[in-house]
Amino acid sequence: MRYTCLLFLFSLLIFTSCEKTLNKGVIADDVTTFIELDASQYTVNQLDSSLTGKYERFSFSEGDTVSHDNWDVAFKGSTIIINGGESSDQDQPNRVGDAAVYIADGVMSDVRTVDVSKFFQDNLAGPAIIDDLGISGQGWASYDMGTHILSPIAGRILVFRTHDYRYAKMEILYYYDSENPQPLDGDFGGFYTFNYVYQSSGEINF
Amino acid sequence: MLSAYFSFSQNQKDTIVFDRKLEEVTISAAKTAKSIAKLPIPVMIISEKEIEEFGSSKLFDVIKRQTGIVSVTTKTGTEGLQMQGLDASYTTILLDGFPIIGRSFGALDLNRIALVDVEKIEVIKGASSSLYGSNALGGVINLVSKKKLIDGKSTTFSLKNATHNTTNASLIYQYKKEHLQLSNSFDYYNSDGYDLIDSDKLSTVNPYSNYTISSNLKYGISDKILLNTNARYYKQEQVHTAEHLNSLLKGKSNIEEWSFGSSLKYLMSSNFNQQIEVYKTNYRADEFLNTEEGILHDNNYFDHTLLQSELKSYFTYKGLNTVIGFGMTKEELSRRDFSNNPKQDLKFLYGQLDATAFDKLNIILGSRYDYYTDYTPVFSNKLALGFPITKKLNINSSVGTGFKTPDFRQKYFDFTNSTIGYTVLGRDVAFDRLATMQAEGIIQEIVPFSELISHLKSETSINLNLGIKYYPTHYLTFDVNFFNNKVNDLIEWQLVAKGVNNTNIYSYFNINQVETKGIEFNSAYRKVDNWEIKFGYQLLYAYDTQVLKEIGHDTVYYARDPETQVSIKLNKEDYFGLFNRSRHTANIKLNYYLNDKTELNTIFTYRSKYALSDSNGNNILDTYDEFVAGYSLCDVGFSHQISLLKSFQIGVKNIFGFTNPEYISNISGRLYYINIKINIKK
Repeated sequence: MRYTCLLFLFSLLIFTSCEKTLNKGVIADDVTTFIELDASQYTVNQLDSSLTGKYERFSFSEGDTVSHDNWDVAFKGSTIIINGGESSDQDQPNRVGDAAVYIADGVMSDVRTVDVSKFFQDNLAGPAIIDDLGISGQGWASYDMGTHILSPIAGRILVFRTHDYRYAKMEILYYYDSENPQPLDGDFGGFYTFNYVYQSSGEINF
Repeated sequence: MLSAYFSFSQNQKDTIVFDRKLEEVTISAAKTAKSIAKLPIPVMIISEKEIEEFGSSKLFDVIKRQTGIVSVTTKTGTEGLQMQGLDASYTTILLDGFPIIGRSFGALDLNRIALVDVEKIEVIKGASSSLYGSNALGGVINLVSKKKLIDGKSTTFSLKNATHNTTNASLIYQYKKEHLQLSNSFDYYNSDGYDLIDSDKLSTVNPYSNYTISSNLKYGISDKILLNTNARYYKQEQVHTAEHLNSLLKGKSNIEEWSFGSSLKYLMSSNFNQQIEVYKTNYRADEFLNTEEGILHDNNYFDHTLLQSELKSYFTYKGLNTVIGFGMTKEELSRRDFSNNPKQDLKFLYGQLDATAFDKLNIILGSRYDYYTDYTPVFSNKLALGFPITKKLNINSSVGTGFKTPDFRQKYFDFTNSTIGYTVLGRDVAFDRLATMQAEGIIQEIVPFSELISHLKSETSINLNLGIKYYPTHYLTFDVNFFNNKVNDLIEWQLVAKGVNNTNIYSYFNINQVETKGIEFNSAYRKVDNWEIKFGYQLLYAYDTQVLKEIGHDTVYYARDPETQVSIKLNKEDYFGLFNRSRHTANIKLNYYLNDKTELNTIFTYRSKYALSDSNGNNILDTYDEFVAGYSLCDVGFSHQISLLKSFQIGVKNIFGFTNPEYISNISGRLYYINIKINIKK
């Protein structure tokens, strides 16, 4: 983790310590914030804008990045994959699990029950979470053509079935490691700050 | 008999400036002469004196200081005017009643219009399609050239110098003898432009120069027949630059415009006369960019022609004034990225009654029928009532409809940006182009293509005004006007298909419905011959009706908490409204007369915060978006009459040197000017 922007980090710390006092939507006690997961080890291929590089794996049960096969979700730049389904590029780590995902509309506290009928897995054509730099508006982020900044779309909650049939919900908050990213100066991002809730019991309710 | 025609402005001659406001006569609002105080429609007159204050020589500079007229810069850099919260494309601009053409994305560049030889500017707010047809949804601005000259020859020369190496020289030659009146003018403007952002290779405004030649001839052929001819030529050259893959592209951007209008007025009797008019105008813009090696990189052109002929009849009978007119318009455009050279023909008929009922009640009733070759015919109507409660208090109300036909771009555009990767197709070409692409299997349908078969509808509006005029003394006035505009079937582009490599294809649809409402307030006070203070304010609410209805109910919009970045749901209160609209705009103007030859003017204009685009990805403007901060500008001017025929002005515009390089490209910082005017009479 990098601590290049203390102010941003500071505000997140305040948030995690006093989240119950927030008036906009009550957030459950077990919301955890993960700061700046580094998925920035990639290069952009100029020809087709595809990314080449390393996927950073994350496990909900461990609450941290991992390097073994029991991961749940992995990140490479703006691409997000899960440990379930089929691989669509050569950089992707082994899939041993049966993870699945869908995107729900709402704020974090709105997602109380997992709708298992909506689950989708990665496939040969691409990851279940659409990664088209926000062009379709169906993915997790939007892209500003002027500033080239990628922003997670507000009101999108990623709902996961983990590799071992537990459930988790995640809200991506921020994609950069600085407060005023300058993509034109090489500040391409790839640093995921997100909130998540992990349901370790296997129940579909949060 | 000539004087009958000239009588519009005669009684203003020697009255003091302030009184003019009460006496001022307006013609465009009713197409007949009428005192502004009695007109039951919101109208503003900018006098010649006011035009000349602050050394202004272009329309934009004068009009942006007026209450309820907001100068806006869009994201593409086009400048325009907003009246009653409606876009620049909804204002018709006329020069002696003839329309000025040459719009870029709907907005007309008002810096193009030199104010030499303009006697006054009439601004009519609210839908005026019942007289002026398409586009006049938000209002009409009419520039009126000098109607009556003094016998003999007169030459006026003025020279202005200002910051950014700006030179403005103008020459007016006027001649009047018996039934002949001639006015010729030449205006030359040259500026180095300016740069607000040093870090890039480009200038904010590149160097440019332009000139305008205009000529007006009035000739009384007989006691009953008057000929009036207007000719105008404008040419501008500007350096054109762009950045492409870290290299600088250089070129030129030229604009050439001409217009010719002629009218014959036949005064049959004291209560019946007729006028026939013919007008033709052409606007042509050309630009090119070369690479550093001098190889042509890109070029573009735009060529628009309009021909209009009209016959009007005026009847006056016992306080009843009637205008009936009919005519036709032919328009033609040739432009790059168009599928063909579109043409549009229009035939129109209108009539207006202006009557007094029950001694006091003034009624204006107008109707216009526009018949286009391509659309369903449009009826536009207006009803205005004026009721003088007392001599000092007047209540007015008007209701009118307006419309705007889809422009050529919305119908015939066929544009592909290969750098960013998107295509925009005009509605009339979209279906065929998409069907071909679909047959080739290179696109995926997002919106059913069958929706594109029908033509676009015209945008329509309903406008309501309720005004109170209270003039307690000769030196104090209050004007308040409540307004409301509902615009239906707004045309916007929307994603219709996706091509290979995720390229987007857009076309135009009638989708939105917007509403603008607010209050405009104006007040003026004059301490006899000493000083004069004016205050103007506009409160504005402008929003998308659908968004306002659905937010928090059927559709949920989200934003992020600026502190925690966590998503939150937006309420009705979080919806700010339409882009580029400020809730508050205001101005205070102070004129101080040191003596009858020397005058000091100060004006403050204020615009509250607004936003140019959505910055948090929910497609609406909410309080969590990035806003352009509110700002105020202050101009100070000093003018002195050296002798009867010589005068000078010095002053500073934007005295605090306000700039906002990120969002506001048309405010260049502090500007100094000096202006000398010499008049030679024979």
